[in-house]
Amino acid sequence: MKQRFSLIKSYIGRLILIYGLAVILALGALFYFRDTLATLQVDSYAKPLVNREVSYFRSVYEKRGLRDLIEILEDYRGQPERGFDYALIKDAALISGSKGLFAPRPMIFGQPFPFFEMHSFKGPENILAPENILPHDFIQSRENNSSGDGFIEMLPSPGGPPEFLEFSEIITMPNDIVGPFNFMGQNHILIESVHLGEGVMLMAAFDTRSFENPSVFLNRILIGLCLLIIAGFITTTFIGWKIHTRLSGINKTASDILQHNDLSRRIPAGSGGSEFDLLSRNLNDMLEGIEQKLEDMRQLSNNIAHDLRTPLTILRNRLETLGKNVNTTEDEREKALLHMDGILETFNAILRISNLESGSAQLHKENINLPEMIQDVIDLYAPLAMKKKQALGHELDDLVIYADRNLLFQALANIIDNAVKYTPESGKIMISAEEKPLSLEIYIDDTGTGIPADKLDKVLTRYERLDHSRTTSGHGLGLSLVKAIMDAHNGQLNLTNHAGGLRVNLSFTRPHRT
Amino acid sequence: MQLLLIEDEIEVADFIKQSLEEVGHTVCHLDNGRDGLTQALANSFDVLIVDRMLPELDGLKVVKAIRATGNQTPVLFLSALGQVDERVKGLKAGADDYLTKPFAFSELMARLEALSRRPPHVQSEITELVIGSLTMDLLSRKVFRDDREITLQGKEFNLLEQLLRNQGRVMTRTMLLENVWGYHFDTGTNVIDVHMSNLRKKIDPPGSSPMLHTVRGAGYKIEAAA
Repeated sequence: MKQRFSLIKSYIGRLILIYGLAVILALGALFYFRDTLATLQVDSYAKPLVNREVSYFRSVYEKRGLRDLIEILEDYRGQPERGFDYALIKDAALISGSKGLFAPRPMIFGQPFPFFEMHSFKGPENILAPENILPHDFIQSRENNSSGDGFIEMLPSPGGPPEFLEFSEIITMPNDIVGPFNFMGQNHILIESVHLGEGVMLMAAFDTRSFENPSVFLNRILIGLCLLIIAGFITTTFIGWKIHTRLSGINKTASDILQHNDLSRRIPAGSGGSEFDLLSRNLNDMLEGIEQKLEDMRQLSNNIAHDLRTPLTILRNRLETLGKNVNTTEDEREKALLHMDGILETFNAILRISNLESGSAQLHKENINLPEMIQDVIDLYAPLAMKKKQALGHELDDLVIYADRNLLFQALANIIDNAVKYTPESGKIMISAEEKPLSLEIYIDDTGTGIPADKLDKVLTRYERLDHSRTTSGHGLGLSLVKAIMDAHNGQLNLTNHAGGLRVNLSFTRPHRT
Repeated sequence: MQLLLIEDEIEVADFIKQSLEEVGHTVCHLDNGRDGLTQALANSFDVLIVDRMLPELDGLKVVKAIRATGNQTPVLFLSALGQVDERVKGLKAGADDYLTKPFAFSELMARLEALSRRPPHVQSEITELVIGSLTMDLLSRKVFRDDREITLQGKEFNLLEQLLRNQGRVMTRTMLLENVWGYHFDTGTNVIDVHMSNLRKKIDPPGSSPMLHTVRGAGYKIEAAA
């Protein structure tokens, strides 16, 4: 019955699988939308910035001349944190700045790899190394962009390393198209080329990562999200695994109990307050209860056997002699019948007790006038008490009790029966009751011998009869039945020795009436 | 008496049938609820003895069906289900009495006789019960034997009343306890015996011919002095 962990069969395994799929989908979506988001960032944030810088360069050239412009451009390029490079061309010759732009980047499956390279940025020397050149597609894209909005989408060459062009080739091209270029594939590089007049052309390249660029922030968020999702997945798997181990502890105990038919086994439970500890402890309590019930039943069958074996044997012997003896008298037959009745009585008492204890008996509770019922009991036992010259009476005010009429009468009758039996001649048996805030107490006091202190507990155990009472008639189940009746009423039966006798106390917890 | 016995346990049924026939009753026995119901409706019986758990149609349903047709034949339930609530269920279904297995045959006999003579309606008119020289006035709650008043305790009066209402028939100890005290409970037999011996002392004083008889193994009955 040992169950191995299977991802598909196990509920937790399935949860982990589902979560894993969700993680993959989430990551996929992040990557898919990342470029779109980045492009949006470039369009809405980076391009206006580049435009503003270039306008500034233009105004410097127009107001202060070429020399001042070169000075400012050199100054910009000298600050690595600006991520700036430029080429200043006059009459198809480079007069200032770099000869080529843009380093090639690591490629994966023919696509520029999106994240890592962004963080390899160190300074302008990387992007604007002299040997760097523009890809071939740059030209075509430029040619195709006839709408004149100034932005050109550049795609890396499909398959294989991109081809690169000499920087000089760019400037020999017709210069009717000018404007910032989104150098595609490297979303973070923007180039704006602008005619300043008199054959002077400026190509300004900006690494947008050097701006206080929200797209960097966005990328960090994206990376954070990825890490969060992955960490979540790991945590979930870990939690799932922990739950699985706890549950398999319970499962193992359950199957062990079934396999070995051994109810004494318990689930390992911590003393903490976690749900699993609680569950384990509750299950253990339940097992305890079931074990106790089973033990009770075993005890019951033992006791039935014990209580009925002796009388049945005697009866059998009687019947045997009845058959053999020709002179069978009516008296002997009667004795056997009485004997049999005794056995039936015992049998019925055992059944009633187990019925009450198992909770299968339904109580029919009603409001009962207690003094009336107690008078009925007294009427029943008065002749017996009178024979022993005992005083049997009650001192009760009007009290109403909510209980099962037949069962309460049975309980009272059993107690009085005992009291009459065990109280010596000329003794006194007095029934009283008291209404307490939380309970209704009935007391039956007698002036009998009481019960030895060490036997007080035992006397309530089923089938336990004090040795000296073995000689007295009765099946010895009287008090056990009373206890079962009180238990069924959620009440209590207490026995105490008091000065010169026994006090039996029936305690009915409120609400004993409605 | 014409009796219908619906009981599926053959041994119990044979025993009851044989014992009842020995004392002169006619018993028709069927071993399942369906046939039993058909028979109960087809013929007229004095008392129906119905087991609580039967094949085909259980005892409760049989009794309910019989009562539904307006048939008021007294029904005695036999059952191994002795709990009070089972008993209440049986009586609610329309049975008139309920006897728990295992039972003494004398108990069954006594209950059958009580049922067969149970008048269809409660005798509310009767104000006086008489047997031989014993008279009980139910209104003044006085009892006389040969014009001499007998003083009885409350329950003694009720016990005597039960016996008088069923004069000539055996009343078992359980029947007396249940009818007089009105509780369903178990008790040692000697409790009622003490009551009866007290009662006997009062209504059968020394020298008079006895009217209150102990029926061995069964209970008590009252008969006019011979």
